[in-house]
Amino acid sequence: MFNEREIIPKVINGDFKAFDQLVKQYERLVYYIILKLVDHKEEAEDISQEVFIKVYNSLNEFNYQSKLSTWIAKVAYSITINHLKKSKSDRFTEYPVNIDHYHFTAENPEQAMIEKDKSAYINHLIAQMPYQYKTVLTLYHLNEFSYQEIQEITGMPEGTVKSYLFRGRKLLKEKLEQYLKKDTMKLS
Amino acid sequence: MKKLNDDDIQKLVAEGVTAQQMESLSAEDKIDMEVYQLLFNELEKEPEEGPSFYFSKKVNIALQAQIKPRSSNQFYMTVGLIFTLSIAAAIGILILIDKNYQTEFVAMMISWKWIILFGIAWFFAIQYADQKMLMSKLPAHRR
Repeated sequence: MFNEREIIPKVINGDFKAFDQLVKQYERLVYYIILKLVDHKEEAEDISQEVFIKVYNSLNEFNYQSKLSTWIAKVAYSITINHLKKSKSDRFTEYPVNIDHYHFTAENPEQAMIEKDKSAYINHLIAQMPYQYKTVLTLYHLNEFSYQEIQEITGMPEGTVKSYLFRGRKLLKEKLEQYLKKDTMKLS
Repeated sequence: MKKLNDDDIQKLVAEGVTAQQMESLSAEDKIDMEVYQLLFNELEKEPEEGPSFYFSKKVNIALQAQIKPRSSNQFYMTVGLIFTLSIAAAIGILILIDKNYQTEFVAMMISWKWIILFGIAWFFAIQYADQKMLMSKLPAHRR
């Protein structure tokens, strides 16, 4: 059973076994947040490694005001955003586009392949969304953080988090609806 | 006829809709509800692949490689200091015992100079190779 109150002082004192336990406990949380933002497995693993080294070096700054998972997610989010900014990636846009008028890329053979699998299709759509939407959708649904925790992790006001979440889901629902209609037509 | 907007439906799906509530919905709302339910299920699904099996080991290797240069520098400085102090102490003691030892000691050091220099160079070469090996296990951007 992982007890963060026991593990943290050990890690601060340089206990590598305790740190190994900490990494095993949170590796999926960190990896999934990063993977959804960078959409590249190897890159996600390299950044995850960087996150845990940062966690090791800064753990003495953790003040138990939040859950350790929230604090680690905040480190992961901040390092990934910096990474996207540095790589001047088109995945990073400071000002989110108006999602109500958002257009996904036009259909191509690769997309047609993806559309055969519902889960792959939804992941493909999420990968194309602005990073603010991907972040809140992942943190809320996959990592099960509350609105307040997402606010703490990302620094976005709670109202903005709720708004991104609602609009992101609405957009995905509309695309999924079209997908299901197409699928039903193919079957009939 | 559609009665609920997307906001209402998202809230209902998030909170969990009862059979009674479901019955009272219009046909259009029921379809929307089902699509949202499907979307929520998909969003909650973990990706098929997680981090690699040895991920925590890799992190530990990278961390130790980062910490080691700092402790290695301290180690080299300590070894260098001990070595210099030992030679100085040996010369000092020998001079105190007999002044003739001074010239004998210096002569010995001169005659063994290549072996001593080779020993020191060998020691640092091993340390350097060890560092190189650790660094090669790090991802390219962290070297």
